Amino acid sequence: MSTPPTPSPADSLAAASADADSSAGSGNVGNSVQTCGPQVSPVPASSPAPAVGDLVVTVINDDDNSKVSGISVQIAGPQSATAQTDGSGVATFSGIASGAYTVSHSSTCFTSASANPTVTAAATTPAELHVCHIHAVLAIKELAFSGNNVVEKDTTGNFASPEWQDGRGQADQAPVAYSIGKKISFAAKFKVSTAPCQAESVAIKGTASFGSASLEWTGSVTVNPGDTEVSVSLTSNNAAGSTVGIFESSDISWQMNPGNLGFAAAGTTRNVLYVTLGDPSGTPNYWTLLDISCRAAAGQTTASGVIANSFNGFTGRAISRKRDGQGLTYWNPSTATCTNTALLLAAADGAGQCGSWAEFLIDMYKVHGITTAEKILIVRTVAAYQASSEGFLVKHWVFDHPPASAASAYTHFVPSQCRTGVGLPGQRNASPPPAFYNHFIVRADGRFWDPSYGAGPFADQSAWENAAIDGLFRAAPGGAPPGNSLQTGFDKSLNAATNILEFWSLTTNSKI
Amino acid sequence: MAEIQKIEFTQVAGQAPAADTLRLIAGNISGNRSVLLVISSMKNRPMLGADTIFSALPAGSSGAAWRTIAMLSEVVPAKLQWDVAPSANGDSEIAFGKPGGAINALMLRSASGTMRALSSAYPLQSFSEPRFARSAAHPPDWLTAVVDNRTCVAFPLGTPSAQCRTLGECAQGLLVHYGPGFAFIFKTVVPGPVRGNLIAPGRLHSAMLDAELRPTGPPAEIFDGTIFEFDADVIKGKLVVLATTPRGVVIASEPSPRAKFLSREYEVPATLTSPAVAGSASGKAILAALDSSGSGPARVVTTEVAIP
Repeated sequence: MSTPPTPSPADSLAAASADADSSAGSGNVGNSVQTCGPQVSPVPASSPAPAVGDLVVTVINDDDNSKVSGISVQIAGPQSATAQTDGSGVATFSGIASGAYTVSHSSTCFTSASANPTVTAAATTPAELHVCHIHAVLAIKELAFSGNNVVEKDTTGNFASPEWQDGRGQADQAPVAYSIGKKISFAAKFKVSTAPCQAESVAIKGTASFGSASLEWTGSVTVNPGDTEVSVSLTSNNAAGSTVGIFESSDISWQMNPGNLGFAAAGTTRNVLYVTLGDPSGTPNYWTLLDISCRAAAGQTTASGVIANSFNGFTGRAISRKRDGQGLTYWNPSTATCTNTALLLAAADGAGQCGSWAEFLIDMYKVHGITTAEKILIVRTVAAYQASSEGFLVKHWVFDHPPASAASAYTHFVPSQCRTGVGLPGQRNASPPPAFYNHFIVRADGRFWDPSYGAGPFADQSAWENAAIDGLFRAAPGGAPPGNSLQTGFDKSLNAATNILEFWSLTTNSKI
Repeated sequence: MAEIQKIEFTQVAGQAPAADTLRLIAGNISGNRSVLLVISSMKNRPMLGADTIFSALPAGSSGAAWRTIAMLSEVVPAKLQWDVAPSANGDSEIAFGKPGGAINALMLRSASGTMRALSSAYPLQSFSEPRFARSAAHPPDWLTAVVDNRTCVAFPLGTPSAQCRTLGECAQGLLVHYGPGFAFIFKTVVPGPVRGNLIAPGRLHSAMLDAELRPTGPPAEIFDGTIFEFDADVIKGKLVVLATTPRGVVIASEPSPRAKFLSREYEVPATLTSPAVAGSASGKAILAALDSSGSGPARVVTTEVAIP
């Protein structure tokens, strides 16, 4: 038995088309049933009656699922038309040609949206546009701190406000300083990257951790159409620090909440924060002083603690200036004319005399509000240094023994009988001068500190003398043997002398 | 002041010792009215101390050699701050801050080498920036210095152990005999980068004082800009001030006491320090400075301009 061939799909379509054409105009297509109403005239095949339907577009705000009234909806396709949504958020397009349409809206208050319904003839086709309200979008732009102690950039001027600025390199963001217990305040300026179409209140929040302290800044700002930036004054809920400290990598994370929809990120800021024991008194708030002391005395809460621990920054004899990294040195003969903090911080080579180092330490205490430290002048006697007749030898000198017979204690000629050995190292200087007429140290908290050498504390004058000097020198009254300079040595150890120098307080201008 | 169209500094001929400070002195030196360039250079001694050597050269001379006029040996090695002036006997004397380590005493060294401590009444204070009062007519009678980097004071040179007089808060000060009294020219420091190792930027002011150094009017700013160092002299009856600026130099002149200063800044393609000005025998202004541009020791440069 033979099996007839199965027609291909193409053959089937061709046959159906021929059948339809042969029946055209017979009024029998689709088995239509005559119903009530007027007879519809057959439409010639060459001009079929237009197929129309209705399109109903509902605009829905996805923020809260509400219907959006009063916005303009456009359709594009076989026909183009525009209609406003009514109070139910519906825009109706009646009697439009059937076919595929693109639906959109033109409101600037909502996010753009589109839909692509196909309108069916003689039917109502629903469509939806899902939109969101356009809210303000903010990003942190500047922070101008207030209530802080402005940091001075090591004699080149104060760090300028705003202390933090978008687009500035992190290394160029200004450090800020607050004393213990102070809350952190600033004017925060935000860039408006998207403005709303109507005034909108935006909640602002900043959060940060400074050690164990969690800080939060909250506030709100009204953003108006056309705004490009907005500002708000904020104060932290807590103080940054309850102890002296330095926070170099604490970010403030900024968030914004427009329309109460939830907080979104608005950038981060970072300023190095110094926390001092108290507000500075009697000195500019030099950056280097802050940095050394807040680092070395981190965790301290008392003047004694700051005094003792700040000095740890000196004992390594490797102090650098913050603004340019220049190492600070005790005594460069060619340039060492610096005798106070400002000059030491200004000098290109960072070299200074003991006076600058003493004031450097005293001012370091002053940036914490500690004003009790005294500058101490050390001399053989005031008259002796004024006359340039006697001074002292800084360790270490080598004395040949036994000494030449002499009636006075000045038993050795320099250099035939005594000479310099390995000296006491000073700040970034392995060999400071081995002899002086006078020297400055510091008395603080009842003890003596020698910042030029990073030495101390010393309980009393005798302790300093034993640690620092080997003897005295003076001009040889009767001249010196050939090859010797005019100074003769005085071996402190031989003479078992104590307190052979005078200590003078420059606070009271009196001998201690 | 009529405009000076052009200033060109030229290097002094001959090999100058490595100089760290320069001064010009004018007066009857060795019997002749002349202007001398004086420079200092420091040399450390092997074990203890340093020597500061002072050398002089007549301004405008060609082919002459620098002549050592003094040497100061100090136990404590440090760059000296000093000034030089013609003395009554036609020689020169030097004022300087004696390095003590912590405190610098103010000393006066005569041409014969005799030392005198001017600051002996102030043993706990340190002195810097010594300057003799400038006068074309007679040897200096006052010496100014800055105490503890804060206050300018003046010591009378004719009265041993006299108390000093306070002139004002400043970083650098200079008295110039002018009219019936003095002009006090001074610099106050402003924040900013230093020139060289430690020449702070500042503003330049003047105040008129009577013969007893009492102010006769409020201070006035001489130049509306930043300066580093300055010098001043009276030339043909006019007070002339020369100062270094970030761009070059400024020359300011006051035609008569209390008249308004006229100033003009000139660009100089060099880093100048130690500016000095003095009137020449012909009435022109001799300008001198150290040129620290480039590597190597500073060069002594001078020029001469007319002050109309």
